[in-house]
Amino acid sequence: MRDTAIFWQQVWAILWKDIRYELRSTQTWLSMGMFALLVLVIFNFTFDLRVNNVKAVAPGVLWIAFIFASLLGLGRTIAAERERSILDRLLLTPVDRKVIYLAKLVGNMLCIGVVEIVALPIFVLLFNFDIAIIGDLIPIVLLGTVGLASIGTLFSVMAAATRAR
Amino acid sequence: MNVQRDVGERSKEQPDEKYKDTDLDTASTNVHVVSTPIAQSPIVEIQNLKKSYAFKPILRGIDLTLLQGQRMAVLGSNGAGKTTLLRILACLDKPTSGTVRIAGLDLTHNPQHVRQLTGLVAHQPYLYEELTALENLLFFGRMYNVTKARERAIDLLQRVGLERRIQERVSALSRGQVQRLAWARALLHDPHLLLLDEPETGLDHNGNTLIDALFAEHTHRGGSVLFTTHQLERALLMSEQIVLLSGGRIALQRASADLTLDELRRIYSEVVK
Repeated sequence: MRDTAIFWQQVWAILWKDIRYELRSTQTWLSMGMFALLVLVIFNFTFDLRVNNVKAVAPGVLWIAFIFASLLGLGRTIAAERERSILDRLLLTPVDRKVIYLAKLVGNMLCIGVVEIVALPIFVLLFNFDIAIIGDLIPIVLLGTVGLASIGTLFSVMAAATRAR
Repeated sequence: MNVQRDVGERSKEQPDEKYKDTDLDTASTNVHVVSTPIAQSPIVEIQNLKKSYAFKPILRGIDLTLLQGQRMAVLGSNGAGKTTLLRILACLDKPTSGTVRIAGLDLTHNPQHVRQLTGLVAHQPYLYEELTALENLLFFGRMYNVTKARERAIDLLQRVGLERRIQERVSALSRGQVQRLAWARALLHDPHLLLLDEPETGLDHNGNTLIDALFAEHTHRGGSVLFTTHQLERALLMSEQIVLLSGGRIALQRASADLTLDELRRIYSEVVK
């Protein structure tokens, strides 16, 4: 029971640190948000969208925006730790590696989530969907975010460790 | 010292029996009470330690023993393997071969517990630049599960002379102030073993006086120190044991009391050519 409390306390500490760090630097969230918006706007103008084909194209555009924006953010979260050997500082502490993964995962989900919250209404407006569709999209987007962040966090750590960024 | 102890039989949850009186609780570190151990038992035991990076040998068979409460100075030219040795002791690197025990715990089998026992001050401060001095210490306090972390952090910030910089971000601090904060970070969980890689780097005269005092306080409470330096006089003054590394091997290991500065200088210049 005590170990569990310590586990979540450490997850929260890393998450708190990452959020605070990001709020002060704002680099990741801003670049992700801008990227997602650009993708939505550019696709909206470049595709010849009509009533009969918009439903076929729009989901692809939305996921391209989310996935590429996420890749931008996922790479940065670990890169920020890796720079100046700060990841060493985290690895130096007696913290379970699962704690680090979980904290980074939740952090990435929050990061992607914020971008999605901003991008979804704009997507609905640009592609002429009924605003009520957001309610239907939320569970799908949420599940997609969990999948994207869980795999993305793992691979971003591996990529950072190979120094092949 | 029985060096033939079977690591497999040792509990992976607790450090060696002889350290139990040091009030070490690996789940929750009481940072205020560290009593003196029963006798001078080894805090660091290294046997035939080898480390290679990409087939390039850095350490070529190191045997060392540091007793509880003692200070050991590790000397050597750049590339001699000093930092690698400290990184292994801090569980940042794994040995290629050989055995390393901290407080009786095998470093490769019990890294979590060993990390709770060690504090590292290195060339890198290992701090978060966008966080304030206090936020950094609070964060690491939670990582080390320090009880009353805020009080401990504020005490340490006062101790290292940063009480007026508590709410300043690390990026706004000078090199010397960052180094002082790194000291506070390393002492936060009251480690049994302090690992210092050229700890005087970036510090002015007052800073050096401060770290001398921190050295003394740490060993007075029964803690041990293993530090690297290029200052031979300082090494003699601040340690009970001198180890000289050359090419990843121990070229000299002797009690500081048995060495004069001139003798150490002569040996150093002969070994480090």
